[in-house]
Amino acid sequence: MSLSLLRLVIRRLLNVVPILAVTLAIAFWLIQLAPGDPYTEYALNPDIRAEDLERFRANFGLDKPWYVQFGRYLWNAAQGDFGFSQTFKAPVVALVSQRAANTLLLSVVSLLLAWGFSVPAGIIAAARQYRWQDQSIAVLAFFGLSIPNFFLASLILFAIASTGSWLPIGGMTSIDHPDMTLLGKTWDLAKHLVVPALVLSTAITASLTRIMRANMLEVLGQQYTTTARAKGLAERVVLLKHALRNAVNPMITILGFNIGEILSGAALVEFVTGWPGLGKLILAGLLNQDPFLVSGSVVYGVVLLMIGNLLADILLAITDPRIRVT
Amino acid sequence: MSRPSGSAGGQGAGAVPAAEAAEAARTHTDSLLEVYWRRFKKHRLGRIGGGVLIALYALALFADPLAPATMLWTDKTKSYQPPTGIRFSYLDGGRLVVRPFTYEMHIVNQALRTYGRVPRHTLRVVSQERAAGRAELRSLAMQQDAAARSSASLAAAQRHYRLADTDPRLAELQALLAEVEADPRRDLHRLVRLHHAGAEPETLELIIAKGNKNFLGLFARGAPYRFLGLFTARIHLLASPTGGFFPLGTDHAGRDLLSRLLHGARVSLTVGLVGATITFVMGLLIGGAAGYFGGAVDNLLMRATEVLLSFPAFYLLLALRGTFPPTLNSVQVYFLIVLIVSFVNWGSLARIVRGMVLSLRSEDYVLSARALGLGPFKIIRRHVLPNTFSFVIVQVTLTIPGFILGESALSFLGLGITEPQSSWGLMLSASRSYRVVQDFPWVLIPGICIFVAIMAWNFVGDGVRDAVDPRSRH
Repeated sequence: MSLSLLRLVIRRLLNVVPILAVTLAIAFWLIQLAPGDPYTEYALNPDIRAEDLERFRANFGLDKPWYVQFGRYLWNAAQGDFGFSQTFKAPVVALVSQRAANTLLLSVVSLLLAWGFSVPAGIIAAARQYRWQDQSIAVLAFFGLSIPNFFLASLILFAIASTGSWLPIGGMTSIDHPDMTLLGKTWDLAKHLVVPALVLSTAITASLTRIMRANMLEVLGQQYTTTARAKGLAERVVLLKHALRNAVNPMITILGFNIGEILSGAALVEFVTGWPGLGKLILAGLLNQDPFLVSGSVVYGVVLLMIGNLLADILLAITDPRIRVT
Repeated sequence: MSRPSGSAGGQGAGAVPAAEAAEAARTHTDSLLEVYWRRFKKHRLGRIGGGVLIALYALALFADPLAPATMLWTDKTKSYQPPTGIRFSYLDGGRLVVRPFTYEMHIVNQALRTYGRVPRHTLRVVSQERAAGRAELRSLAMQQDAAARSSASLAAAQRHYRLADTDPRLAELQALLAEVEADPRRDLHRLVRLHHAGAEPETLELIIAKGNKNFLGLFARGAPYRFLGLFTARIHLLASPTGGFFPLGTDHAGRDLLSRLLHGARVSLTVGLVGATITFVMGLLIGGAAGYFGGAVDNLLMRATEVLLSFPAFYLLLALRGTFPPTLNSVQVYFLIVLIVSFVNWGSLARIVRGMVLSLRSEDYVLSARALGLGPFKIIRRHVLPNTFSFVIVQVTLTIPGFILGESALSFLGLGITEPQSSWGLMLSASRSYRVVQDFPWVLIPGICIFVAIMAWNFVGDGVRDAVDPRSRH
C-alpha cells in the first residue's frame, strides 16, 4: 500500500468518527422516541429475571435524566453493549452480529452478480448500439428497474413452488444442515442464496447496465478510441482494452452508492425470502416494539455501509491513480 | 422561465444535434417549457408512459363509479373467490336469452376453498336499501323443493330485518316469493318494495333472485358512495345489483379485488406526487441555502446531509416508522409515510442543488443583482433557483418511482397503510405466503399494477431527462 493510499484511508477513517457519533445519537433518540417505555414492558414480562432487570436498569441509567442516559448508552455502545432484546431474549449485539454476517454474505454475492451481468451487458449494448442486442438489453433494464423486489421474489418463489420446488423457497439452510459435510453445507447455502441474491441484484443490475452502456458510449466517442481504431486494432481489443478500463472507473465511484442500495433492498428481500439477515431482524424488532433491537440494527447497518464506502474508495484509488492526489 | 429558446439551445452548444439547433432557431418566441414539451413529445417511450399514467390517475380519480362495489363491501362467505367471467347468453326452457350475467358461486370444498356455481334451482333474497351500519341480506336457499326454498328465504328475511310475526310485510313477501317461484322462467330477478306505514315508516327494498345468475348492467345501481366527498351516488359503470360480480376475484375477507385496486390506486399513486413535491421543496431550500450562504451554514447543512446519506435508506425508513405508534388512523398513516419517505430522500437532491447554486452564485447576473441591492432570499428565489429548475424537475420525476416503491414496501410489511383501507402494497401483502399465491394467483394483480405504474414513471422520467438535457441522450 502506497503512502498516498494510506493517507486517503486515514482521512476517510477520521471522517467516519463524527458520522458514527451522530448515528449513535440518532439510535439513542430512536429508543427515546419509541412509543412505550421498554423498562416497564420488561418489568411486566415474567420471563425476565429480576436481577437481569436490575442490571439492565443500572446499565442504561433509566432512572437518570436523558443526558446521563445518553452517556451511558455511548459508554455501553463503545463496549459493544447495545442492550437486551426482549423479543429474542438475548443481548442485541449477539443477535445483530450474527445477522449482519448473513446480510453481508447476501449483499456481496448480489453485488458480484450485478457487476458480473451489467458490465458485459453494458459493453454489448454499447458495441451494438440501436441494434436488437441493445434494444433487448434496454427492455430488460427497464423491467428490472421497475419491478418491486418483493413482488419479483413472490413471483419467483411461486414459479419454483409450482414447478416442483427444485430450489429451496425460504431460509438460509436446510433442516439437516448441521449433519452435512463441509462441501454439502456450502452447496446447501449456495442453493438457498440463489433466489434472494438474484432478486436483490435485479434493480442494481438494471441501473448499472444503463450506466455502463452510457460510459462505454462516451468513451467510444473519445478521440483515443478513434486513434486506436485508426491504428488498425481489432474491435475486440479496442473495446476490452482501451474503452473498458476507462468506462469502469465511474462504476466504481457509484459502488458506494450501490452498497447503500443493496443494504436497503436486502431488508425487504430478507423478509420475503426468509433470509435471516439484519433487515429481517430490524423488522422483527419493529413489529414487536423492541427499540433496543431496532437501534442496534440501525447502527450496524450504518457501520456496514461505511465499511463498504471505505472499500469502494480504496478500490477507486487503486484503479484510478488520479483520485489519490486530490 | 420565459427566456427565448435560442439561449436554451445554446446551453449545450456543441453537443446539441443540428436538427435541434435549427428547430430552436425557427421558433424564437417559444418559452423554455414549450421547447421541453416539444422535445418530450418526440420521446416515444415517454409518450407511452405519459399515456399510461394519465389513464392510471384517471382510474384512481373515478374509482367510485368505475368499481363494481365499494372498497369496504365484504361478503365473508366469498373469501378468495376466483375471478368471475362475463357471459352473454343462456338457455331458459329452450329459449335463448341474451343478457350479460355472471354465475353466482359458492364454496363447494371448504378445505381447498374451491368454488362452484350454485345450482339452478336457487332462490336468493338480496337487500338493496343498504342502511348504514347494517349488513346486507344475502340469503341463499338451494333446496330442491320450491316451497322449502320460499320458506327458508322468508325466514332469513324475517331474521335479518327483525320483523314481527304479525308484520304485514312478511305476508306480502311470502306472496311475492310464491309468485316468483310460480313464474315459468327459470332465471328471474324481481325488485320489490315492502312499505310499512306504522309509527316509523320504513321501506324495505329487496331483490328476489331466482336461478343462479347475477345480471349485469351498465350504469347499474349499486352500493352508495360519496363521490370525492361532494355528493352521494349509487351509479356503478358495470355492476350487478345482486352482487357476486368479481372481475378480478376477491381477497381473503371476501372483498372485490377490482374495487379495492381502484381505491388503492388513490393512495399508491398520489404518494409519489405529494412526496416528490415535499422532497422538491426541501431539496431546493436546503441545497439553495447551503450553496448560496456557504461557510458555516453550508458546513452544517452538508454535514447533516452526509449523515442522512450514510444511513441505508430503508433502515432509516423503518426506524423512523418505529418512532410512531403503530395504531394511527388512515389519514395520519398516509401523511406519515409521505413525510418519512420524503425525509429519507431529500439528501441527494439537496447536495446536487447546492453544487449548482455554488457555481451559479458567482455568475455575473447574480453579482449584478446583489450590486443592485437585492436581498439574499430574493436573489435565491428569482435568479438562482430558477436556473437549477430544469435539473431539479428531472430529478424529481426520477424519484417518484422510489416513493411509490417506498409506500408499497412499507404497506407490504404491514407498517404502512392498514386494513380496512386499501393500497397496492397492502393488497400485495397477501402474496407473502407462496401457498396463497399458488392457490389464489390473482392476489398478484396489485403487484402488476405497482410494476406498471413504476415503469410508466420511469419512461416519463427518461423522456423528461432527454427533453430537458439533450446532452444526456446517449
